[in-house]
Order: sequence, then C-alpha cells, then structure tokens
Amino acid sequence: MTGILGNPLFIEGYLTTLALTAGAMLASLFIGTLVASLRVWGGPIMRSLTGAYVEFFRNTPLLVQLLFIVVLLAPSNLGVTRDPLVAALFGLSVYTGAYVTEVVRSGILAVDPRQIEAARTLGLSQAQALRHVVLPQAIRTVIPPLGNLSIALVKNSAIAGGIAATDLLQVARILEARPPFTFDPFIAALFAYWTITIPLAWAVSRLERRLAFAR
Amino acid sequence: MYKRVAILTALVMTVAACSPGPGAGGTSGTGSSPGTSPGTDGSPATSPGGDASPGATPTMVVVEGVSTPESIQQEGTLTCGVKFDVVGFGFRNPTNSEIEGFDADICREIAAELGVEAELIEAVSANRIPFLNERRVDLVISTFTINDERREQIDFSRPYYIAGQSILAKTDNTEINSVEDLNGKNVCSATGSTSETNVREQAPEANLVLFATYTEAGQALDDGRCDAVSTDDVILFGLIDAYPDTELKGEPFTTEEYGIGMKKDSAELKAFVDDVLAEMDEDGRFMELWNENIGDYTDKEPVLPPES
Amino acid sequence: MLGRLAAAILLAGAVALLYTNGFFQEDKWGPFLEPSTWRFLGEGLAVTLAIGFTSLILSLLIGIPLGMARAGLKGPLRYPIGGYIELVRATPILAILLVTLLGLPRLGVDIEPFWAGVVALTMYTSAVLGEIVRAGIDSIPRGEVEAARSLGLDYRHTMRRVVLPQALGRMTPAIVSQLITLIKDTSLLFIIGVQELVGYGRSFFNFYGNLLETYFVIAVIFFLINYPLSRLSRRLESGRPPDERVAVSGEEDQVVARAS
Repeated sequence: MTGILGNPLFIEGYLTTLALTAGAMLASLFIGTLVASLRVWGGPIMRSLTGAYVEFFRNTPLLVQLLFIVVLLAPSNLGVTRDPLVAALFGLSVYTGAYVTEVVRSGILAVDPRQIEAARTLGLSQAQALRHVVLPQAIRTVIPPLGNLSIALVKNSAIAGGIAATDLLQVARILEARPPFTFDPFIAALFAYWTITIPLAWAVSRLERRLAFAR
Repeated sequence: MYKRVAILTALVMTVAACSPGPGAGGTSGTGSSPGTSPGTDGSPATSPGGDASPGATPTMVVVEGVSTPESIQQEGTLTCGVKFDVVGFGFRNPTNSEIEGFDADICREIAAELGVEAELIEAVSANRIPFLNERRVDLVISTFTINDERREQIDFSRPYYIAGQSILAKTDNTEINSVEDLNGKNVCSATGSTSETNVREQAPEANLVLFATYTEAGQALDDGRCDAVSTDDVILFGLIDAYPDTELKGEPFTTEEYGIGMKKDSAELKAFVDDVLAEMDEDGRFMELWNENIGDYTDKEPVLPPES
Repeated sequence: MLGRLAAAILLAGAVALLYTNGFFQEDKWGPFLEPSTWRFLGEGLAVTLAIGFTSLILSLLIGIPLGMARAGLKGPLRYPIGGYIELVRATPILAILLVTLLGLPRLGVDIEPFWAGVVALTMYTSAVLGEIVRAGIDSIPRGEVEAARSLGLDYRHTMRRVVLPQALGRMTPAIVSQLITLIKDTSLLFIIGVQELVGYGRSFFNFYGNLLETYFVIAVIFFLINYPLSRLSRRLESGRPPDERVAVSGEEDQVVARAS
C-alpha cells in the first residue's frame, strides 16, 4: 500500500486532480460572476440567453459535455488542444460556472437595493457603492454555497478520466491493471480523495456556522 | 461529526491493509482488460481479440470423451466456437446476421472436408476452454493465442495465424514507422491491456493516452488527439474498417500464434485438422480465405506458419 | 416574456445563419429524421430511466431508515452510520462505481456491470437521501417534539404524526433535486459497459459518423427530462420560508436549492 502512495504516477494523478479542481474553480468563478452580472443587469434578452446557458449546463450530464468538448477542441475540428486535461478543465469550468452563476446572482439579489440608494444619497458613486456596500454582503451570502460547489467540483473532477485525462482516479485504474494486480491503487485513491473532500467539507461547515452566527 | 468519519476511516484502513494480496480470485476479465464496446446495430465493435489474460478460467464441467472425425461425421455437424465481434476473424454482419471472417471460414472448410454442416456459435474469451470441456463445441477458432498455460488444459492445432502488437496511424503520417518512433508522440490504447505495457517497455518516452475501449482510441486517432493507436493487429483491423484513412505502420513488435483449440487428448482430431490446414496452404485455399477476409488490412504474407 | 421571445428569435436567427453557411450537414443531422433512430435511442433511454428509477426506489428504501436512525439515535450507533454517510458522500461517484465493479469480484461476488451500476448509484444516492432525511427531521423545531412528548405521545407516534409529515414536505424539493443528479449520473455507466442512452448513442454515431451531433442530441434528451424536474423542485420550494428549506452540502444540484 505504501508503495502506491510513493508511486510517482499516483502523486502526479493527485496533483493533477488538485490542479484541475483549483483551476476549474477559479475559471468558473470568473465565468459565473460575469454571467451573473449579465443576468442581473443585462436586459431581458440577456436574461433569457444566460438563463438558457445556466439551465442547459445544469441539467445535462457532465460526462456528455466533456465527451462533446474533447472532440470539439480536437485538431480535426476547432483545433484548440489535443490534451484531454485542457478539455477537462474547460468542461469543468463551464459546467461549474453555470452553478456559480446562480449562486452569485442570488448573492447580488440578496442585498437590498435600498442600501445602494442610501449609499448613493450619502455621496458614494455607483462603483463605490458596489464595492463597499453590495460586495461585502454578497460575499457572505455567497461563500458557503461556493464552498459546497468546490466540494462537488472535487468529486466531479474524477469524471475527467472518462476522456482519458490522467487524474487520480484514472491513475488508479491504470495501476490496478498492472502487475501485481492488487486492488490497493483504488483504496489509495479513495483515501486520497478523502484527504481533499473531508477537510474541505469541514472548512465549509465551520465557515457556515461562523457566518450564520455573525448575522 | 468528524469523529465519526475518523473512526470509520480507521476501520476501512485496517480492512484494506489486511486485504488479500494479488488478484484473489481468477481474473474475471473486467479488471484487467478493456471493456468491450457495444456491438449493436452495425457498429464496428472491437473487443480484446487475441488476449493474453493472466490465469486461465477454472473449468467446472468436463464431459467424457473427445470428438473425432468419425464422431463428427456421425453427428452431421461440426460445431465451432468463434468470435462474433472481431472484424476480419469472427464478425456478425448486422445487415444479414451472417458470421464472417477468417476463423469462420476455416471452420467451414474443415466441415466441408468432413462432409458435414458447419455450425458457428459465439465463444467469448472466457468461454473458450469451458465450451471445449463441456463438449459444447468441437473446435474453438476464435483468435485463440497458444500459450503453455492453456496447453496444459487443452490441445491446439498447429498455428494458423501470427498476430502481433502493431501500430496504427493515419495514412499520410510519415513520421511513424516503427515502435521507436512512438517516443514523444501521443499513443492511444486501452487501460489495463498488455498492449499498454508493451508500448511502455519499447517506447518509454511515448505519451500514453488510455481509454476504456479501443473504439474511443480509434476516435481519438481520427480527430487528431492521438498520433497512433497500438494494440494487437487483429483489433486494429476493426479500426481500419471504421477509419479508412489509417494504416498499419511498421512490423509487429510482439508475436502471438493463434491456434485451433480442441479438448485435451484429441490426437486424432488434431492430426486431421493439421492436415486440412496444410492442404489448404498448398492448394491455395488458405491464401484465398486470407485475402478475402484480412488481405485489405495487412501486408503480411498469406501463408500458413510453420509448426511450432 | 418579451425578453424570452426576443432571445428565441435571436437564437433562431443564429441557427439559420449557420445553416446557410453549411454548418448543418445533411449526412450528420439526417439520421435524426429517421424514425428508426428514435426507436433505437428510445431503447437506450428506457434503460437509463429504468436504472434511474430503480436506484431511486432502492435509495429511498435505504436512505429513509438511515436518516431517521441518524436523527433519532443518541447512542453509539450514531457514529458508524454518520461516518459511513459522510464517507460515501465525500467520494466521487465514479470511484464508487469502479470500486464496485472491480472490487466485488475480488471478494468472490460475481457481478455484472448493470447491477454494479445500480448498486453504486444506490449506495451514493441513499447516503445523500439519508442526509436529506436527517436534515429534514432535524429542521422540525425541538419545541414541537417536546410538546408532543409532554402530551403523552411516544417516539413512534411523535415521528408519525408530528415530525415526519412536516419533514416530508420540506424534503421533497431536495429529493427531486437529487433525482436530477441521479439521472445525470446514469450516464457514467457506459464506462463500465452498461448499454444505456449514452452507450446506445455511441453505437449510433460509430455507425453514422456523427459524434458531435449525437452527443448534442443526447444532451438535449437529458435536458428535456431534467429541466421539468428542476422547475418542479423550485416550485415545491418557493412557498417555504428560508429556515424551512432542506438541502445538503457538497452536491451541486442541492446547492441550487439552497441558494435560490
């Protein structure tokens, strides 16, 4: 068992999963905030279009999305990349971004517009009002759900193996099929996932309690 | 709450540490071989053909007696176990449900020599030896690799085909001509196959991209994600069928002999089958069947291999 | 309303533009006009739905007692159950699937891919449902439970008459959301060789050579099933004040129920 944990391929898989999760989380934050802003402040047309994006990507399986994207980005089509990891990053970001959009949107909407009015009458510009009044409150609403999304993202990253990206689970499959054919790689992979998801879940629940208390 | 998690994790850990060692229980096939892709409605399904799965499946039922040329003639039928999903060797054509392929045709020839009907039933890898022992089939002609382990349980005819791991790449790819050329390229194969291991050994700098099935590997070759696919040439034939702008590059870099399987101690039947194969080679029938079934896919010489 | 109409017109315009520029090739999209295609894909869809609903029923049968046990118990049994649930929920479902398929034969249990898939999906979903049930029960104010007890109702009757009826109503939106996740997760089963919608789709595009189009159509089919479910879930939840809402952590489709 300890042999697996020291195996360079295994470590590479673990780091890949971490990188994939972190990268996708960042990218989806960016996408989500952008789309949420469009959704809240864009016109009715923009609301419908962004709504279509959100609903479509939330209600279709991630694996199907990845299978589509990896071929779309392949050299014989759009020619963006042949690396399944990049395709996975892309797919995970777009998928999670749809969820982040809704979270950020409700975070923005949770702030009473009258506070913005009040801020304006006190002499703050729109930008200042957003930064000093809306943002702090929105962030408090938004952080726990985002934390939960990141936990979900760690678990979803395992699906990247379906398009042959060498993440932790894919590495487990590869190692298990090599001599001496023990099941240890999968046990090791389970533990490895738990080292990420369980602390994350703990942190999120601590955060939730603190924020709820502070209210 | 997390205390519970810790306790449970500790329990799981102890169980895992005490778990039995290497692959307890004969390989069920799903663990160390790539999944078979769907064979419904016309898809060029590929399955691990001449496999080299470690450990033979323990046989349960052994029926008394063996088939001989006389017994088969008395029955009026020669029953052969063949693959139904390997293009070129044993493949059920979805449009007319006919079984086509080199293996199937060899069975038909032997039956003709005996003056009986040929009956073809599907023998997937795991069933080949059990079917012989149960005498459900007289012969197994099913991309069956001859090896010592199997020799202990059944008899083989002389080899009739030499398979080997090969490389498939796009026809207009001139950079790949041998296994060494795979270094630094994206090579697709299936998780858990001996093919993957062989590539790693012979081209350590190759970038292996591993899928669950060879169909996906073929797809990745087609849309450019891989420069090459490497596995037994027999499986590659199926991919060439699906993606005509590909071809085999270079020589196979491993060899495996296919033989016709028979129940143990079938000396008479073996002698008969070996004779038929030799005759077919001499009078050109062997070459004809070869060219019909696999000639388009391979440049190899259509001759019967020497006795091993 | 007007916004939606305008957006729809825009999209239709974009599609038309693509069409006139040769994007929608006849041979790639043509097969979808054949009735035989829909019969074929329909078979796959039937398998998907069968797996989904079988797993849901089994998950409810396992998850509800699990959740009730966890909510009610004070004793040492709370730890293993809680630990088990948390551990399963902290695991990627694909990992559970592969461990089921590849691990059980090593323990001597012969299992075919279809049932390995159902077992894995059920294991995960029942854990989440168990958590939903527990959260639902715990969301009932202690005051009500105490009042019921002081009126002489025993544990069973308290549960049946006071706690569960209210809890059930609160849990339903979360359960529907989990069903959405479950249906999406059935698509993972093709990796282990189960012939459901995605598996059929792959045979289909291998035959016709239209991979991108087929995956898109499959995605649309999933959408047509899950979108109404998500609307249902939101509608069920909309009447409730925030403190009555039940959702669990770590699941993206549950997060939605919480945030909106």
